[in-house]
Amino acid sequence: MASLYERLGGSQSVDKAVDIFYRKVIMDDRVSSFFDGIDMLEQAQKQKAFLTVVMGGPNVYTGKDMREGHKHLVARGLNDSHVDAIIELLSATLTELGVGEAEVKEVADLANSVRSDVLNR
Amino acid sequence: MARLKFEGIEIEATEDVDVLSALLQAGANVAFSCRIGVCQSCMLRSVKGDVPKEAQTGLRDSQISENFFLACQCVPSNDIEIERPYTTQHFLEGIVSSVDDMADGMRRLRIDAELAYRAGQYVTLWVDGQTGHRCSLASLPEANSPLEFHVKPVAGDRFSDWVTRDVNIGDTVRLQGPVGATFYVPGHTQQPIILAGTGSGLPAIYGILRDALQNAHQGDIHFLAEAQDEKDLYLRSLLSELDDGQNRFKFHHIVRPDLAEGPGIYQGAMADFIEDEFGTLAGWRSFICGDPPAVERIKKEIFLAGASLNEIHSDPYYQIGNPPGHIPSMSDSAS
Repeated sequence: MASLYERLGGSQSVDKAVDIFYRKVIMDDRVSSFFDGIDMLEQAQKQKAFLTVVMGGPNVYTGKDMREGHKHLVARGLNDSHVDAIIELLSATLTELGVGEAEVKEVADLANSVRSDVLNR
Repeated sequence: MARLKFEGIEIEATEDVDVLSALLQAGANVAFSCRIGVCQSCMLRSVKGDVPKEAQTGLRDSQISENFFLACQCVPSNDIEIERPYTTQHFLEGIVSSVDDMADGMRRLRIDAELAYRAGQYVTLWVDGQTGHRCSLASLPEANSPLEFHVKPVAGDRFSDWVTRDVNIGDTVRLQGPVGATFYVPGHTQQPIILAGTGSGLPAIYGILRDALQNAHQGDIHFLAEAQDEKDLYLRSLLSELDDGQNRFKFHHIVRPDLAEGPGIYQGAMADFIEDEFGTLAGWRSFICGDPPAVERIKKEIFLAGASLNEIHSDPYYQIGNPPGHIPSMSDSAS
């Protein structure tokens, strides 16, 4: 079966998802402070890569990337509760785009699978 | 067989080999990560020679118009000359052709130079070996027309002293750049546009407005100038001159309550103005120029008002200038 990434329409639908997801992230008090003071447009490109992967598109990350990319945030207090919040916002984004419950869970599981890399454990 | 030129090396790329692989193989130091065209780490720019369309998938219109491409997705069929994007190592000489006072205590500087640029980009002006200043271009790139800069004098600043006191017509200056991806790209002529600027970004926004008007943009255009002091109101007269009575754009000054009042002046915060005036900005194209903290804030406000990230044009905070101790000379010229 085609991946969710392909079924939703590939790169362009990811752009739409990034708009929704990023808006949720910067409005959520639990995680928004991690996004303060960084360039939004550069960050959006990273989120696009992230959403591409968790929606089953081409995988662009290695565990090492995930570790390096979040090290400074772990030092600032990034922990499980923040990862939970991000996965929750990601799920809400996909639901808003009309993705079914089972598939949302699949994506959440995929996102969850990089948790220990993100948290540098 | 395609020939690639990049930072002093020349390579014969074998058929079916992408530019990234060819460059890496030749020992070039190029950033990359995913190698499948998503992360954009390996973005480069062709300064000579076409690149295949597939190599530009996912890039912004402004980047495509400047021949940016993803090296990992680029299998060229012709010769290309490649540069890193947003390179700041181009130097050019210019001659001061006029300098005068504008409204509200601003200074206007005009310089003759053969600079290829787009309205809204910026250059660093070096007036001597040590004094450089990042200035956005307020002019349109027309043949035989000088570059125009609007400078806000700041007490105790060497560049300000030069532009208010020491400059003479006929002086030679050195220009570094141009840099910047915030400019109007023709197309989608019905799309409404927001041009938002603060401080040093106001001349750029003014240039982009002129560019959009010259390209006969049909959608609504709103010019939002956030003024920190009286000098930031200086564009009023220039904007009135641009107004041909056909309502092709509206301008608004966003000010603190004690700064100014009158038609076109909104006292309060930019975010409140956006909400009052437009409600949602879904479907709008926006351009934001100015001091980095203000730009980040306005970007966020415009995004939260519903604009898509792909439609927000604003320069990331590219560092321009030279490392301390390095005095630019003509021998630095890269092109």
